[in-house]
Amino acid sequence: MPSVKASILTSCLAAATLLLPARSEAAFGVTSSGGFYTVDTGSHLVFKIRQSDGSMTSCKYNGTELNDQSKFSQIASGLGSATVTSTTSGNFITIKCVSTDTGVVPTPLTHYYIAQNGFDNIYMATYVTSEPSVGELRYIFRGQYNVIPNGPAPSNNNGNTGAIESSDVFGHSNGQTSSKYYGNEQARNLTVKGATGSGVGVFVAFGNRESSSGGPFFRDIENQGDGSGSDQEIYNYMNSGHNQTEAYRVSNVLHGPYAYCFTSGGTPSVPDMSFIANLGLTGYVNSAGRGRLVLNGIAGRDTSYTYTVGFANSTAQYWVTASSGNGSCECFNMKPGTYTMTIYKGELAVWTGNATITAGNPTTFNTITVTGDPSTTSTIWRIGNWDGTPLEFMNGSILYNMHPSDVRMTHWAPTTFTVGSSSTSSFPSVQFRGTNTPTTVKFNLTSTQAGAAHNLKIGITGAYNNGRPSVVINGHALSNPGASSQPSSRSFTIGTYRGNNTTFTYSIPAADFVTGQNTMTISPISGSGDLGPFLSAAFGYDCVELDN
Amino acid sequence: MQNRNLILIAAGAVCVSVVATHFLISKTTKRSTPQLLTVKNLQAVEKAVSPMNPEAADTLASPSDKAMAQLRNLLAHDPGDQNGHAAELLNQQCQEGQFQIALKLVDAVPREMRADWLAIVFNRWAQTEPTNAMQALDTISDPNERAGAFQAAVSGWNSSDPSGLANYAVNLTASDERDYALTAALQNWSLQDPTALAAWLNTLPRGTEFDAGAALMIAKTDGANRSPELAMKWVENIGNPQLKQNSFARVLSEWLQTDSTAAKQYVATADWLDDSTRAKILGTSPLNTP
Repeated sequence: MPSVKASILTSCLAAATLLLPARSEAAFGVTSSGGFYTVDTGSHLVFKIRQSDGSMTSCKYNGTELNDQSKFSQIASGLGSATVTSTTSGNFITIKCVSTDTGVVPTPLTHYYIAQNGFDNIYMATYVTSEPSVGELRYIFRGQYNVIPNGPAPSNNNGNTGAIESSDVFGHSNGQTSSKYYGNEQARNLTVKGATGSGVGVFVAFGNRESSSGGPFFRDIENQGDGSGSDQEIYNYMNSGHNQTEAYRVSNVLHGPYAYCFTSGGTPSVPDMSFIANLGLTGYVNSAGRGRLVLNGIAGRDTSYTYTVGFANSTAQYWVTASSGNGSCECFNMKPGTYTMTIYKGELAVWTGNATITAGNPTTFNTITVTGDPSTTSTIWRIGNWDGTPLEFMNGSILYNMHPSDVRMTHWAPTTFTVGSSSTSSFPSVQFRGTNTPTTVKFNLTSTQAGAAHNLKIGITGAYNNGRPSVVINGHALSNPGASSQPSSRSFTIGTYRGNNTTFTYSIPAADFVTGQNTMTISPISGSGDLGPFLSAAFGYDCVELDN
Repeated sequence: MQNRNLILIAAGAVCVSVVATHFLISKTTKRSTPQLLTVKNLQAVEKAVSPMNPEAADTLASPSDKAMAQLRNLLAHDPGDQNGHAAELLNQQCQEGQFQIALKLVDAVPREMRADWLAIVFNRWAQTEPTNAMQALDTISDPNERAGAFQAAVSGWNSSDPSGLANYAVNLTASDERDYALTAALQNWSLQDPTALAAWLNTLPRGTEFDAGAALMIAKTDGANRSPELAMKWVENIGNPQLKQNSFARVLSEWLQTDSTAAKQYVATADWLDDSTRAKILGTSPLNTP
């Protein structure tokens, strides 16, 4: 019996040891030599920062070089030139890189690399006063593909047969597609992501998103596997114009902290970064300088949907998921200020107001009643439901993961949808002018229904190239709407349907209806020219309905 | 014995009321949106008319009194409406078109809830009965409350009928409310039906509203709605220099992409352009147009 106890104890100790952060007896410290700071984290990780521009030129885990040896890892596309200094304080080393090339970053950008004694992580934060000239704020870890080849499949371009769209979406011999734009999580779901190889893993912990842009449903690039002999790029995108629906937050704000985590191959949990509060980073707002919001509940919900409460102003963004019970929620660690507060049903804004946050004290809201849910309108028929997404429609749930031309997609072609008999999943998620137009909707009306005017509503989740729905009903063309306000970049072909939700309402006179079967066609219109079958004027469907 | 009979009769009357009310509300709820309202509202109503709550049971005379009794009972148990049942009751009244009753309910809630409740009522009211909703705004004496309710009403009306809202707003006397309503209406109308907006603009005298509407219409439309030539006619009629400049740049940029020869011909012959502007455009790329 004692031997069994001893065995259990040994097993427990072994298991506990496995759960501890990876540590070793290597010498923690930083040295300056040959134009580089070399940091030993006191564990398995040693990395080098070039003193002329702040690029990371080497990153060794257990002696294995992970970093690309020609292009290096860097913030933006590199700072050009920078003033780089190092500070050691107890168990922490901070390397501070302040940009000096105004052609690369118009006003000084400060990027921090931080090491903690005994941990295989490189913590980072980036303080900006303007957007880098490259137009994107991201940290790129450029790893060697051959060393860490096992990255996310949707963004692994290894073995591709060439670009099928622009120079960043690739085809493969099996008819599938890959791109850095595919397989990315919405901002609200970001945790860690990375790639592994033999005995090594590199992951980014995306960290604090308060200074990023786009809100809870925005997706951005996380990885690109360039293929054998090239790079395995692991990104933390803080802002970009990839179907961006918000202005950038770049005026004297700190992005992060975030971290790159190095393991022997396992996926790490998000590391604790709270110690960074004591390191004096420019722009860091500690917890005493922050406030919180308490919402007692949300009334008028459709409980089959998740509700998210978002906050946004020019310097910060936050979100929190409302409880499924009564819609209550609490949002912590908010910078003081007045925010636009939005309640989303799924991804559709159904209530908007203002919330003012002060440091220290909670701001409390009584139960809020949603006023903007279009699903409460009485209808003759409705295709899909109002939630700001096309997820319930054909190919809607896989748009984020592949190009529309991918063989795994259901073939895009003009569709006839019969109300009452066709399945919702046969209705297209996206209406491309160059591919699957028109969509024909057949529906029956009683004589009473046909004898009255009705509103037709088409909700879209976003649009490409100013696409918007043009409707013909029983041969009568309805007045064409104007173009909605949308980001100007690609969208449906780069893994997102998330633009600005917009509802088009068409007043249809009774004279356009007939008793019995009615036929309606929906086609995208735009004054902009098409570049291809999928780079054609388009919009994503949220919901289509004929109101009573 | 007589007392016992009276008690039995009274108890029976309460039970009949409960069942009748339950049945009535069930039917009503089925007509509206059962997925949102059924369970909670029934719970709320059951609480309000429970035999344990004689006040509510005694005041079933009118729908208004009944709703008020329900609200008072709900707030007695949950003054801050943290469980949202009172808000559900308000929603139910709005769903059923009982806006006058809903407005009375607003008077019974704590002061910190009034603004939100007014916004709910006027948003819903203006969606279906905009004229009545706008008239009812006059019953609000507090200027801040009125401003919030007005904006909610504009939002509701605009979501269903921007042209109606535009016609209402343009006939208001000059005020912040007029500007707010007209701007909102023109924004939405230019998106929903720019052709109809164009026809309406032609009925307006030239001036601020015409300029704003024309600029919005130009910004929201492209070759799918109108030709560049027609858009330029609208540009020519805009009086505000900044709006005129922005609208001209937009149409010219679009036109240069679709038919650069015709666009340059227009620039060369448009007599409203000064020579330096004309020379600058014709000598530079489309991206450098003013």
